[in-house]
Amino acid sequence: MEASSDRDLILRARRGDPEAFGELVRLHQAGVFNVCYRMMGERREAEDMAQEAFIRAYERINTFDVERPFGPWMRRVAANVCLNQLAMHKPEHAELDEERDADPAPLPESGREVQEEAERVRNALRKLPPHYRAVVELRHYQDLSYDEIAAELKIPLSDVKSHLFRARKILAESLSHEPSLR
Amino acid sequence: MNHLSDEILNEYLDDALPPDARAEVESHLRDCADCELRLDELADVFFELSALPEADLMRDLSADVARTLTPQPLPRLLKWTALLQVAAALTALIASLPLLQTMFAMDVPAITLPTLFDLTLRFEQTLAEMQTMFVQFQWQIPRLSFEVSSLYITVAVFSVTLLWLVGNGLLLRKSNLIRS
Ligand SMILES: [Zn+2]
Repeated sequence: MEASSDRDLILRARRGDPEAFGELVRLHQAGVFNVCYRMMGERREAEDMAQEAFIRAYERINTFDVERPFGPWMRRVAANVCLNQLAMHKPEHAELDEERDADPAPLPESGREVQEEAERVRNALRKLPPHYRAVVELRHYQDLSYDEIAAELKIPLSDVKSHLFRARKILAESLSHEPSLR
Repeated sequence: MNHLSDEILNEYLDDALPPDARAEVESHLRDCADCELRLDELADVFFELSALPEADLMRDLSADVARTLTPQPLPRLLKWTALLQVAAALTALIASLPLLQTMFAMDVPAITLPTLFDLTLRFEQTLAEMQTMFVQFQWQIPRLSFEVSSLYITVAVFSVTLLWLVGNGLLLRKSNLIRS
């Protein structure tokens, strides 16, 4: 049902219907934003990158195979857009501002614990170099296989394995430094 | 016995091992508390990552995306420039109308192009004149050897201005659309 409506919207967007692409954005923006938030580690930047990812996707909409699901493709595009951005502007202050944007909405006690737990993981992700972050994103959150990650990031299979392996080492290290509240 | 390498443990948890290698790992894990502990530690990282909740998106991005994708209206300054150009072009057209009218009303013989023979003749003449000038060292302002009325010049200037204004306006508008 959902897939067929995506397909419909893409075909309409290709014919130059601006409303159709807007609808695709509305349907997929939450997922795409979350990819960008994990990759960029910062809300504002994540919103900008999500927007950028949709624009990039629109430019390539004619090469997209409508028989395949749009959501996963869109999230892979987003991961790539973020990786390019991170690789271009190496973050100079990855560890300085860990508290920079905890979720703004005030939460009840139980919610705050969940939020702090999430912030712990996000802080650990922020410490990863861009390429490590990308393989973690694609493996853990987009469920791609080693081969698929290699194809997506255009890196050798051996790099996928070593990046993942080292990324998890760094993650284990930083997560143990900031022990869980549970 | 050899313990399992970190790489193997990673591949095991990633479900990336062929069945026989996987079975080997499992049999080792049954007998080796060390490797089982290392596997548990690694699995904790997997668990923590998967437990990260999705964050809420605080604003709708579709309007901003749509704005970038649809061509933007002309910036105000350019809009005024274009308008002024159109106005100037129209004025020029109206101003040149009476001139054009008189030009067409006049019994102007069609502009005849000089023949090659004429041109060579003229060229030779000019050359001869220049030679005499040179000999006599009498410098004069050069003159065209045919008559050009001020009417022709006015019409030509107006036409060129008209062409430039309209053409320029169109080109600016076009490039502005492409850029946005
Ligand atoms: Zn062992």
